[in-house]
Formats: sequence, structure tokens, C-alpha cells
Amino acid sequence: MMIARWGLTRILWRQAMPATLAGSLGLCVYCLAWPDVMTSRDPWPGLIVLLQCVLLAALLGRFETPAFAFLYSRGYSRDALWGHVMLTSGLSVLAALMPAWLIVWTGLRSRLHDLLESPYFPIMAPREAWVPLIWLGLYVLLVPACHYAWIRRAQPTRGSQGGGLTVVGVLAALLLGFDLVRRLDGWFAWLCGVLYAGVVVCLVLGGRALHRSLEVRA
Amino acid sequence: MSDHAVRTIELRRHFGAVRALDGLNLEVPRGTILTLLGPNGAGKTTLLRILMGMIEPTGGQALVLGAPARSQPAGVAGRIAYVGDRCEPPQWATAAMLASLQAGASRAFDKALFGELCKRRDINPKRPYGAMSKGQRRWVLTSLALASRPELVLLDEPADGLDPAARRGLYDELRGQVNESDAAAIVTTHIIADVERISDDVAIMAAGRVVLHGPLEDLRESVRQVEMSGGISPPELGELASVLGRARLGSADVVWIRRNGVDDEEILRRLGPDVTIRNVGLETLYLAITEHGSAALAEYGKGSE
Repeated sequence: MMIARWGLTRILWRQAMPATLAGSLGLCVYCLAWPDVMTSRDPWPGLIVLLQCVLLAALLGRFETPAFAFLYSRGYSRDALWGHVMLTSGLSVLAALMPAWLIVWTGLRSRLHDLLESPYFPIMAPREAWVPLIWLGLYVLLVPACHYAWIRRAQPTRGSQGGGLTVVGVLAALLLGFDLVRRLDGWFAWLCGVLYAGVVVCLVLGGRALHRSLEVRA
Repeated sequence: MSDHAVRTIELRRHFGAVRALDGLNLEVPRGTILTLLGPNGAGKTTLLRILMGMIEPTGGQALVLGAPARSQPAGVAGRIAYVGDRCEPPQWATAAMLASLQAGASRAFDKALFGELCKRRDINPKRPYGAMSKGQRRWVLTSLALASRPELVLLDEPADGLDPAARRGLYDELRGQVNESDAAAIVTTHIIADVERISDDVAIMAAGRVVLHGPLEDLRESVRQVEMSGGISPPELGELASVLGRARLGSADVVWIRRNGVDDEEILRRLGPDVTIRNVGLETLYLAITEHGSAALAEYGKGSE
């Protein structure tokens, strides 16, 4: 069981700040400015989520820099470091998602669009309340996928090209499978949910395994 | 508990065609300070990074506090402290943040000691690392290591940027901890005066191997410079002693040896009247091995350890 360490979390949080700001600003601006009713099919939030996840992996995985050589030589076990990278990523996702969610949930968005004389404002609040959950689902899949790919890329002796292919595969499965899954019902929908959770768990555990043998070369 | 804080067996690390470590064997008992000497590229930093678990050996074995260096469990990792080359915290991190970071990893971290060490060099704990002078930065990093009260300290050029007073303070603190807690330390430095001041054992590395290793006093006692005006070093020298280096200085042939239980009189008797034997300092010994060691290896083979 990992014990969260404040000192380590604070340093990683600061390292991940640009990613958090990019995600948070992107989603807030989207929520405030998007003129139509938001749906799960809108591409912009997906791109913002992907951008934040890629930035998180890059910023929390600069293994060739002196700052990370320092961090990785403090006496934390590799698993503890991996746990804190995941924890920091989770906090970053919450910091990006919560303001956007609040903008939707509190009715700020529909009130703003009422002022802007949007014809959709009466149906915005009830129809959009669940949309941020889709973004959360994307984060849950893409955060470990991007970390996995980034760590794989940083290991030249272990097939660096495999990391990029992982993300491409996850994204392709998302794009192709999304419409299909939405129309499914019953046990098959549950099965897809279980598979989704399985992929996420595999990415987290696979990333942890790679992270254990990662070389830190500043 | 293992008697040795560090033990490496035929340790190898290659970076492409470069053999940074090439079958390195080393043992560091608890309660000792080992100083690693060697020219740039000898493999000192690579060795420390392997011991710290930052990089993987290509072959051989490295045991640190009884556990393999690469798979250090949390309980072992937190008992090792490291100050390394190109290993610095983010510029915005303050000394207080770094103390909090280190305290999370090292259960024995002594915040009071860290505060006292910072105070000694007038370092404000709230000052960002990037705003400190080079010497202050180095002091903060070494203070973090020492305040962790580790069982093994790995210091890679710790004195780089420190003034003489700070260096003395650092090494006094290190010596105190090693004596007090039976910890071990490996220090790399190019400052010979520091080596003579702090070392229990000295190891000289060249081309990824330990060429000479032993207690400092023993090395002082056993290493000699043999000058032969005849210009030819006799082959029997290799039987009397380990030949560490050989050079031609003017008309004289100079050989640096480590006596194998043979005294100076015996060497003089065997080699004849044209031979002079002198004691050598550590600096001369270091230069003999690193600058002239390969010539000895070519002539005396395994005799040069």
C-alpha cells in the first residue's frame, strides 16, 4: 500500500502544472464558449483531454533531465515514484475537470448563453450534465496509456516504437468503438465496460513494470 | 545484516561500444569511507549510478546493503543517500521543499540537523535553489544526504564548488556519521588532499576496472617508486612486487610498485646497485597508475594487479 508523500507530490504537481493549466483552461473556455448543446461527439474536448494527457506524460517523464535524476535518487522505491506519478496525474485531471464540470452543473454556462441569446440555453443544463463524465472516462483511459507509451519510448532497449503504437491502438479503438458501444445494451454493454476497465488496469500495471526497469540518465 | 555495505562482482556496464565498467570487483565494509580516484571516463559515476539503482548493469552483480542494486525495496532505497553529477533539483524548489521531499523517502531524516547545516552556511530555507550560489547549492545537496542519516552515502564530487571551510565541514560531518553509526561512504574526488584527509580505503579506477584498492595507510606503506639508471627494468621485478606503472624519465627507467611482503633491502639486493627506491605520495601514485599504468600492464601483464 502506497503512502502519499506530500513533499514528492508537491514537486511532481509543480512539474505537471503546464499540463494542468492547458487542460483546465481548454475545458473551461470550451464550456463557456461552445455555442451548441454539448454532446459526447464533440471533438474539441477529446483533443483537449488528449493534449493534457500527452503533456502530463512528457512533463512527468523527463528522465534525461537533472531534475528527474535528482528525484529518482532520493531513496523512493520505483513503485512509490510510479504511484506518485499516477496520483499527481489524477490530481491534475481533477483540477482540469472540476472547474469545467462546475461551469456546467451550476448553470453558469446556460446563464451565459441566455445572455448571449442562444436558442439552446433552456436545454443546455439538463442535457449536458452528464457530458463531463465522458471526458472523465477519456482521462481514465488516456492518462495510463500516455504514461505507458512515454516510458516505453524512454527505454531504447525495449522496443521504443511499441509505446507510440499503444497510444495509436487505444485511440483507434476509442474512435471506432465509441459509436458502437453507445448503441449497445444489456450484457454486451457490461462486457465492454469490463474490457475497458481491464485495458486501464493493464496499462497501469504495464507502466509500473516498465517504470521499475527504467534508466534515469541525465 | 551484511558486513559489506557494497559488493560488486564482475560488474559490467556498456554504453554501445564504450565499456564504462568492465568486470569491476569492489567491496566496501560498513564503517569505512572509500575514496574512488580515477581519470574522467574511468567509470566512477557509472558505478555510483548503478549502486543507486538509476541504471542497469550489463552484466555482473551489484549488492547494496545486501539487496540487488536494481531492485531495491523501499526499505533499502531510503537508507542510501546520493549526491551526484548532473543530478539537481528544479530551480524553483526551496531548501525547505527539498527537506520535505527527502523526509518522505528517508525515515531517519533529521530535520534539525538539516536546518543546522543550512544555518552554518547562511542558507535561507525559503530561498529557491536556482537563486543560490554554486557552493550553497552543493552544500544543500550534501546536507540533504547527511541529514538522511543513511547507512550508505554515495558522494560524486561533493566538494565541487565548496570553499575549503565548507569542504572541511562536510567531511567532518561525514566522518562523524560513519564513526557513529557504522555507515559506509563512497566518495569520488580529484582533490588528493581530501582523499588523504577522509579515506579509510582508496580505490583507483582506470578503464572501468579497479586497478588498485586498499587501506590508505597500507598503500602509503607498500607503494614505492623504483628508479633504474640502467634504463631497463628487469623482469624479476614483477616477481617481487605488483608493478603499477612504468615510465621513461630522461635516462632513467621509473617503475612504481606495490611490494608483496618484500622489504626495500630485498628489492635493492635483487635489482643491483643502480637502483634507487623512494616513498611516493598519493598524487604520484595516482598519476603513475593512470598515466603510466598501461605500459606496466604491457610489460608485466598480470603483475600490475
